[in-house]
Amino acid sequence: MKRHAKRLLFVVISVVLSQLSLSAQNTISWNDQRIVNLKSAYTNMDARVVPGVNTIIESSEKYFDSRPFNIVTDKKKIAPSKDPRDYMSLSRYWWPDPEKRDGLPYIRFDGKSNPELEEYDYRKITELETAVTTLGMLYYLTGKERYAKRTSEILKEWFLDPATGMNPNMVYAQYVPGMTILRGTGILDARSVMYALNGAKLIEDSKFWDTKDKKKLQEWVKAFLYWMENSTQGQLEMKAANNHGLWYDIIRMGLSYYIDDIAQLRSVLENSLYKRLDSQQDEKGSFPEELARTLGLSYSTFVLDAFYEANEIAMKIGTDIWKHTTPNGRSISRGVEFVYPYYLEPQKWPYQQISPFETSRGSMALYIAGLQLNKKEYIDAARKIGYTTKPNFKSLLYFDINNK
Amino acid sequence: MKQLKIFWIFLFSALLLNSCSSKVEIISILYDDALLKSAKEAIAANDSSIMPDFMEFRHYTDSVFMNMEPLSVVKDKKRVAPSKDPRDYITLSPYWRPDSTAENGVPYIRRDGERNPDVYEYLERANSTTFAEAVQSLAVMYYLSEEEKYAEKAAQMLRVWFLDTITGMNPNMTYSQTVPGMAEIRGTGIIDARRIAGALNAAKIIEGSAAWTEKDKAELKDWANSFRYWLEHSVNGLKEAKAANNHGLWYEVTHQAVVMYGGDYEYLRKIIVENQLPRIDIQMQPDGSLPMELARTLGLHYSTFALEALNNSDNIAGKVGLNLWEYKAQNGRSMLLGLEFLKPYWIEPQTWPHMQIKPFNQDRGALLLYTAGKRTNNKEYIELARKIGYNPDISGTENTDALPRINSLLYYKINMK
Repeated sequence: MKRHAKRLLFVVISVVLSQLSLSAQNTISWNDQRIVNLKSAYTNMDARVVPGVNTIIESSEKYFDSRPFNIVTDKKKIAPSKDPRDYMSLSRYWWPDPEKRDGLPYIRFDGKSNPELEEYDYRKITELETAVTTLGMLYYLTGKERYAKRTSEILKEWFLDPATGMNPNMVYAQYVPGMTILRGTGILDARSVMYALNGAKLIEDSKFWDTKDKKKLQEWVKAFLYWMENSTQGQLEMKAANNHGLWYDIIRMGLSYYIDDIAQLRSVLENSLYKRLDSQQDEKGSFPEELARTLGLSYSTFVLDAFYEANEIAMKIGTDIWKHTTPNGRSISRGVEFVYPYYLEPQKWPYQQISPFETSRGSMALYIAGLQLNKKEYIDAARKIGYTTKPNFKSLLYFDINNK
Repeated sequence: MKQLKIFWIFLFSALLLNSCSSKVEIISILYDDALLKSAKEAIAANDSSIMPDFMEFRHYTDSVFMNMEPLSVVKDKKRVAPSKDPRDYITLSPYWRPDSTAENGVPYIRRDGERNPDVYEYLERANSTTFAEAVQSLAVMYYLSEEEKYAEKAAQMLRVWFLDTITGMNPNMTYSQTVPGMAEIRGTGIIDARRIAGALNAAKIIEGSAAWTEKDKAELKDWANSFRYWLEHSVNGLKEAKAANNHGLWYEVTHQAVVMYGGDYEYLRKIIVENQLPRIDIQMQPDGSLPMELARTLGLHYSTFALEALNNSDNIAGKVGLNLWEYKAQNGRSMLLGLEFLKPYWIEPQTWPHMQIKPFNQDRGALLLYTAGKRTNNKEYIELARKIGYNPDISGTENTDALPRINSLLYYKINMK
């Protein structure tokens, strides 16, 4: 009897343990079930994922060298605050004014990226995001502590180190040289902050990321969120009538989730994001603010990306945004309906699109919509358009997209 | 190791005290709550030794602050910070002035003790001082009189200064005490944050009023926690925390006040013991003098100012059961040693053997001696305080004359025989 009980206990424990090792790492903006599926596929040597994961493993070795992950080392452009720990990026579409001797203030050419971007911190923050999400995922997939260790080191260097840690604000993000008014647009760069936190979540059960580390990063995030919600720039971005306003909410949702403030997450979703669906989408399902851009199809897709990601975060608290229709009849699915024909035939897009549209983005958008709405037509269309998998995890999570 | 030992001693005494007085209600952050209570009782009993000063204080508060337009960092702003955000607090370093030999006058050069008149172009300096005195006066009046109108006015002013989305100060002091043309980031401007501590003190005092709502409280707590993050992690904050003179001591007072308003009492105790007490050991000489302050052109003022910082720390420490006046470092340094060093010059400032290019106000010595006497049960100090006497000039009606008036009420017993 006693022996039997012991055996039973053993079985129970092993079941629990195996569940634990497969259980979804609770990320912020990714679909946790897909992460679990990817791990099963990888563990079962599924040919759809193994080559991709192996490529990522190989290329991730570069993150182990001593390359700095911070905005202080080798800084080329320092903010007017004189503090190298202040994040600074250039507003992408702004250029020196050829009519002015010193080029100031810069003027806008929508859709044309200024190469001076590289002299600021934007590239670095996207590298941070890629490095920590990649290493965090590799830790989850392989269980090797070295990935968690490196993720932890990079996160600490970027956020917490007293000499190199980024100040918790983006006052100088998407800066426009010579411009005297304050803008809120730079907060869009904070998407990378939110994504980097996915990396922190993925290593939470590692000995290299203890509760003290987590608490310190949560404090950073709290201070950053305070800045986002209370600063003049935050107020301005809150009022943005285009994709910026959406992302502003989604970043706030993601950060609120990271600091365990579920009430705030819910409040942003219900009191702000849903209202933007009403105010930004027209009766055709399009987003007129994005149609007015020189890259209209790209930006219309960017808005869908935003809602998709909002849904991933909302799902952590059990809310499905796909099921939400506003009193005016606006919804994500209406948005998909509007762009659907142009994903199949981008050349028929009746608005501006001054650079070619990346068709894989349409494929991914349709595939996710197809799954969410249980609509075979979208899934078939996604496969017809074809999805080129990229060697990154966000892409690999949808490894089944090209299944026949 | 030594610090650890001190820590345990303090922790033990704190636990001991806490167990006896776990239900002591915290009234304020910066004041000795026992003094506040005794003033209130005296007023309720119509005690003639406090009533004239109380009536005068009421009149002053009514006439100067009750109808005052709320102040903010945005109000009448002439100079905006390099961030271009009017909600960033910006002031000029008082003792730096344009270099007459340099083109454009930059970088500025230092003239200790001589105020640069340009300082007044940056209104936040005066406005933050007035604001802190206003809300503390109103809050003290509210506490003493229990009249809601004072709490309402204080609440209105606190909201405009901290919480309003158009006028509310950003929770940093990156541009405080700026020196034009200087490339280096300095921490010295954080000394201005004493006024923030004062304002939080007022917010704490009006907590019982319906005028200061749960929402206000939560929002100001968020502000305080965000400011705390800046104090603890910014380049400015990290530098000021290391300042070897009174700036380091005042940094910790503000830090303590902010942490206390945020409600993290355990951490509060830790920073008092691990951050503030070691500064006494490091800054003080065996004779109780503070060499960094002696070197100033206002040596007696700054030496007293440093001890006032520690006394403020002690007021806060008292809320969590610590007594800094009774602390003695292993190398013998203590607040009392510092007090002993200054005592003769508080009695006879003209005998001060170092520089003091302006007159010294002896009231400050009397208050410190009286407090030390109370905190360490030393009658001699109290006698000495009475001998020097506390005779503040409260005839002024300037909005910056609040502090001596509040002290007249808190220390109404000081001149009693």
